Amino acid sequence: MVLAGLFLCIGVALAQTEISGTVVSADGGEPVVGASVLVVGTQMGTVTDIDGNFHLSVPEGKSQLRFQYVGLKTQIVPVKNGMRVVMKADAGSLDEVIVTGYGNFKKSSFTGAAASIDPGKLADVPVTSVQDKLAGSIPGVTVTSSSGAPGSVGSIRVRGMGSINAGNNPLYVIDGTPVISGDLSAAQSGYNESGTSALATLNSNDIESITVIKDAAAASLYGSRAANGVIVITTKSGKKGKTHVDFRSDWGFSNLAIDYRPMLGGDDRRALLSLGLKNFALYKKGMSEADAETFAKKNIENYAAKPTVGYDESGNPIQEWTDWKDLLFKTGHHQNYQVSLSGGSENTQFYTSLSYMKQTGITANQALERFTGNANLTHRFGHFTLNYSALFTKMNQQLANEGTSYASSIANYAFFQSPSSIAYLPDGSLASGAQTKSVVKINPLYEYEHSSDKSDIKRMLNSLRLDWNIWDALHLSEKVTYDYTSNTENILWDRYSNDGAPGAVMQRVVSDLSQLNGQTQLSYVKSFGLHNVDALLGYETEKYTYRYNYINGTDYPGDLYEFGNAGTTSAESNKSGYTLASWLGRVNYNYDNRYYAGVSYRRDGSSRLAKANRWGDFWSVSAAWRFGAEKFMEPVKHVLSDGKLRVSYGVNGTLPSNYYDYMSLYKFGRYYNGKSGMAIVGIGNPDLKWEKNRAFNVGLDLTFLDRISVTFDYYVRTTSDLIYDLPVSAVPGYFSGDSPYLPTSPKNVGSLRNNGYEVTITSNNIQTKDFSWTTSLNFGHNHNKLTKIYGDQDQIISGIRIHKVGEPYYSFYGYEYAGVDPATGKEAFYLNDGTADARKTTTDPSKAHKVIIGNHETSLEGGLSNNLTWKFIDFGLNFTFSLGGKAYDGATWQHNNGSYLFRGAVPAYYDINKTWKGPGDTSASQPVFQYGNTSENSSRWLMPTDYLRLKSLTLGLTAPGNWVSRFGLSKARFYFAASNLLTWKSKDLTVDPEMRVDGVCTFQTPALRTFTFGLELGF
Amino acid sequence: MKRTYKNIYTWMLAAAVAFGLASCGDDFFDQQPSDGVDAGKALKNSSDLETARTGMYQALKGSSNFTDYYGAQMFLYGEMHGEDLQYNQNFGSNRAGFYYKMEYTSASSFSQSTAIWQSPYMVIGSANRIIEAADGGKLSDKTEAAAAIAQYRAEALVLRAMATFDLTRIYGKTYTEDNGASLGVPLVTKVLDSNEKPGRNTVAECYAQVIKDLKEAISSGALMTTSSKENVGYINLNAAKALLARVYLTKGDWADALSTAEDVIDNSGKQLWTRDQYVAAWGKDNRDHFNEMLFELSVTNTKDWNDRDGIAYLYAEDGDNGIGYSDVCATKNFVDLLAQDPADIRADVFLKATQDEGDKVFGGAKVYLNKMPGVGGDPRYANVPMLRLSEVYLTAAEAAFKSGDKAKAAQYLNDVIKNRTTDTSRLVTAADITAARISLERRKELVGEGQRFFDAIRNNETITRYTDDDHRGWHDVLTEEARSYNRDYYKSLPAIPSYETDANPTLKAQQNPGYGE
Repeated sequence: MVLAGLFLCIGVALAQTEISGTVVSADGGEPVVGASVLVVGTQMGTVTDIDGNFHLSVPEGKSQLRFQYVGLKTQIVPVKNGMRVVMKADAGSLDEVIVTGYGNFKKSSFTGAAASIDPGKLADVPVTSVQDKLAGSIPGVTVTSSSGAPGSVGSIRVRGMGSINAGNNPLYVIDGTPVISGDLSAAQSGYNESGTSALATLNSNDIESITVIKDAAAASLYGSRAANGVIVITTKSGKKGKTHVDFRSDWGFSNLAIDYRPMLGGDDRRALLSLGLKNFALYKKGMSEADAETFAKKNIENYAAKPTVGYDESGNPIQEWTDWKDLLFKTGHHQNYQVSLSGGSENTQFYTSLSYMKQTGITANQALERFTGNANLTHRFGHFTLNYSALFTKMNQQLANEGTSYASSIANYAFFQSPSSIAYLPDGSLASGAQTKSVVKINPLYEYEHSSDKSDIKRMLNSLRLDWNIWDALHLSEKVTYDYTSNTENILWDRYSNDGAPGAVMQRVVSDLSQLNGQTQLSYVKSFGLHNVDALLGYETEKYTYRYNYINGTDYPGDLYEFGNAGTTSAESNKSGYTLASWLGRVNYNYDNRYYAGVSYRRDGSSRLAKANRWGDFWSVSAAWRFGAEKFMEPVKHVLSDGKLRVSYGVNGTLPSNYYDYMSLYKFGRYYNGKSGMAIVGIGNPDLKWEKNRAFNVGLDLTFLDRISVTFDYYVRTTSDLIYDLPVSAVPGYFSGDSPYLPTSPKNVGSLRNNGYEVTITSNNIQTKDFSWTTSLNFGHNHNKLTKIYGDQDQIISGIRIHKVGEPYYSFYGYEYAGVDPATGKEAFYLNDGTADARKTTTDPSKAHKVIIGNHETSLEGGLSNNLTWKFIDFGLNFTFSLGGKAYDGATWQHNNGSYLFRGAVPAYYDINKTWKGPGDTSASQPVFQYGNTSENSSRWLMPTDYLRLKSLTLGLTAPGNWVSRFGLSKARFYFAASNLLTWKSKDLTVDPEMRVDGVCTFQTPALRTFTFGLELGF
Repeated sequence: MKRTYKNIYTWMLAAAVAFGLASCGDDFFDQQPSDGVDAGKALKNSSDLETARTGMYQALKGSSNFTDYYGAQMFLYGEMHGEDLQYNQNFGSNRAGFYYKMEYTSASSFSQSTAIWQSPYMVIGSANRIIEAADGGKLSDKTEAAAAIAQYRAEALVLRAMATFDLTRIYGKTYTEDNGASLGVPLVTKVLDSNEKPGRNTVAECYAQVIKDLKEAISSGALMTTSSKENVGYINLNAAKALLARVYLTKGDWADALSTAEDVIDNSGKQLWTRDQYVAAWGKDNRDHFNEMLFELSVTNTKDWNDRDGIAYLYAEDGDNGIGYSDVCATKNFVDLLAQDPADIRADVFLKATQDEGDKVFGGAKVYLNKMPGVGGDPRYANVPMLRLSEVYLTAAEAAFKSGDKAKAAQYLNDVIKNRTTDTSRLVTAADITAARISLERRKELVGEGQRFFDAIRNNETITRYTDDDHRGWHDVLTEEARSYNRDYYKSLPAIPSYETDANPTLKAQQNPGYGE
């Protein structure tokens, strides 16, 4: 119906002249893609295509065109058919192109909320993974990581968390197709926290732009997976013109960005532990002062002996404390080489690249090596346009145990080892097992020599698209994309390792993931005088398959660890997958480029839900008013250059993260007595349905003096029918097959609400021939609130975490710490019993009540960047910051003021001068340090997450063109870049401020400080 | 040229339509998992029931992820609380320290891996499904396979009783303290929906159900008659009776305890290991093994083992030759106690530390218990002993003594003593037999088998690990309360773990006293 209506309109076009032309940049004559072309004196216009070409109908009597593009100087040029416009660099124009994957829009005509990363920012900062480029660049987007290991999986949150179990990760779309994202780790074993990021398989230098879609207007077209935003990645493609060869290389090194969990040195630790023993004798055993001293002296050697590292000439032992930080951490190195070729003729354009990257981590056995190849080809013939793109990646990742694992470097440094445990025997050989005198009887350095975890990942992303221009502005396109990833992970614990002795354990996990995606689209984009219409109809299917093969070999007689040599082998395999089919449609209309309206609709069917709940409907409506183009704004035009008000509302959804959650299954593989038995693993819910996410957004875009742009958005995002793995009683006898194995049931329970605002201010401070300076500030705040759980249930407690109605989802639950009890020196807690005694304190935790002691929500976070160029020098500074958040120190084993601490590392926050000295000590800020103390989760262990970080710094020197041309070069640039160079944070925050999303920190590898030197050559 | 385009278009459209239509049907959406079948259709015949039975025993045995029952914690709970074995603080891996140090103060101190809660209820849940399927009469081969179905049903009754009994004696006050008037655990005797939140029954109600289940299984005639190499790893008639005797003894029902124990002694055809057989007979392949072993958990390969988290691995020394975690060793007091009778063979079921450093600490003493000897040196393949004939004799002796029949008590106790030592002065008579003497013999005989702590609270004994620092032996420094305590100490009952009380408000309101949230 809609299309039929459009066809009828065609005949009524007004008298006008059809013209076409090309826009190129002054810098190398590259086509300018997405430049806006506007007929002066009207609001009619268009956007240049991929070759910089444009076609436009100019009404009679109009003779000038206005050309605009971000980063290039706006020009007004007389109309002439076949015109070639050369645009010069200038940061004066602030309009940008929003790539949604279902069409490209000028920001000035876009009705939704989205932001793109300045492509310039993408280039220099060396990061393995694309996600790192997003940090601090776009308001409302939070990038966090639980591991600093090369190739590790990060988390991206767009406008807070909108789901609990169904996932909070945005949808990733590469060149218009949703792709595999998340963790590619084959073993998914928990041996390491880092995982293998699917995004790390992309060479970030192949990326042209990244757009983050934040509201419903554009996201609803992605339907059931768009609730958490969409990240649209566009890769580079070839441009008509001479063939360019570009070479880029960088080298550098990295170390820890912060002083991670400082620990007491040997002497301080010994002094503190002696005090702990003495206090134990005094207050627990009631000994006299003198006896207590003797007791401490007698026992201290058990806990804090100074290790013997060797013997001098006369045979006397040489004693030295062990410096585990020095032993466990090293400087990481990275190098990167890439060459690209691009160019093309009238009908055929290409872009190809090859790259090699290698990075080693800051702890042993962490490394990443990656080869990528990319080819993108476009060919036009008649009414057809064919596009083929192929991306190939081979990646070798070496992983090390992290978290609280016994071989984790971090946990050994901050927990298991102490200055009194040893890595080397006096004869210089590596200590093993009990010889280390550490609490876990592990020498990590020894284990690193005898264990390894290596992944070999191959990814192929191929897509073929044929577009047929049926008639006029009506296009039909068919696109097929196949995304295939295989991962072979080898985990070896050899015959001498702690985990492998005596016969070694060799595990090989071979997994492959494939996703076949088909898209059929019918589109119609046309202007009729002042009426501009853009319509789209589509049908899509997606089939995802995951296969898993596992081989285990033990009882090896020698040191060759292939499975044919094993005494005992076993194998496992599994297969799973899902399918998705969708119908979609969209109509955007604008009148005179002043009044905009849009409608979108999508219907998704998924295999993850029972038949009755399979199909879901998602839609959005949006509108905008570009009041900057109104007549009545003319008087203030010299100040307020442009202005637009946007409103959108829509519904999108989230699928359950598990593929078969609606079924209760008797699962096999419950082995006993040589047989495979079965048991009900997991609790299915046939009534499970989509999570619904309703998003409202209102935004304002203003441009002042043609040089300052301000974007403001306010949003409310409500998730209902939230899928939650509701903990259920263990008494009925169900259990989960995954850690922590406790029974849960997936339910559409409750709702969550996120609301907040985002502001971006970009200013071209100075713009002269030789000097330019651009500043961009973005900040935002998201408030998250759990609004309903399930039935009468209003809270879910899991350890230190509480999810309570009316509170942010990530809230902390524990006793409220009331300082040191002067009489006993113990930790005192407020009773909080809801009576008049609530503010009284007790040292007996069983008398006190736990309360919500804080949450992980920040009151403000964002980024500030400055980019300066002066003649041949360019300089960029990018800060990120966050205010008002709290984290919880999840290393509760160390909170006991003397218990486990006697066997391992003692955090430097224990200060012997601040501990309680004896009965009546009212000035102590720390409780009595005493052997055998216990610990409680209390507000004492909250940490402020406020920070300011110099996220990146770049300094580049470009050789003048007339110098380099002598060497046959078109460009030569040398640069230095640093990431996470400086961090300002509270001393109480002992971990990295960019932490896990839930704010409960244990032993995650902190962010890395990286220094890079790079070279860029163009031929 | 035009023609080519037309062809391309035709193909493209055909492909689009084919792709689209093929995707529309329900077939496209009906994705099935590869590792399980719909629960409602899983138990169709006796063969399915047998597969579910294997799953039930698996829950009892545990796995490296479920060590909260007989995988490890049930043994550690019974032993680490006691005075005869201890957490080996110098060499252990911290896996056995929880119930040894007793530093827990709140429900949240108890986790999935330490609280004995989830796995016993998994056993009960699995048993209930088997019983319900057997009783439902819908199994396709219910006539042809009637005997097998009845056998699986009877085994399910026994395991349900075992798990209920274990939970009751852990979380409820011991029966003799108040005749079962106080709270036990939630009784589950049918398949429950996942969202039910049952509360606690009284200890007396729990015991009544346990005894009813065991009697029904025993009288059904469906159980395999006795333990042997062929039916190793599954419940048999003698095992069911031995368990019932243990239940009666714990309940303080001396008459029934005595008659049930005597039934086993007289009718099982089993005999006590002799002194010469004793040390080697623990090996699962030893020819005398089944003389005494009434029921054990069977481990055969890397699929059905509990790997390094199983109790056998925790007991074994991380030494020069063997592999293990050295988590548990004998206390110095217990080594001294055994040394009082140099002829007692039971000292030899402990092994000396093979590592010099360990040997130095223990002064050459035999401290590592070897009741689950490794197969080819690897304790991960060891079977786990659950019920033995000597316990039945000791039960008979104690029940007879407490019913006043001292002659019979002395007779059964001497049966054990003379098979363990050549020193005849250790034998007792009706005149000199005491409760303490029976208790001492029980400690020596059953050490490491997870019974000590239950015996102590049942008999209201005080457990003393060490008295003062000079007599600490190999103990870690313990809190005052943990050094010596009896059943009046609130920590003699654990808290119901917070993972349960958070999900089940009924139980949150019925928490054991003294614990915080």
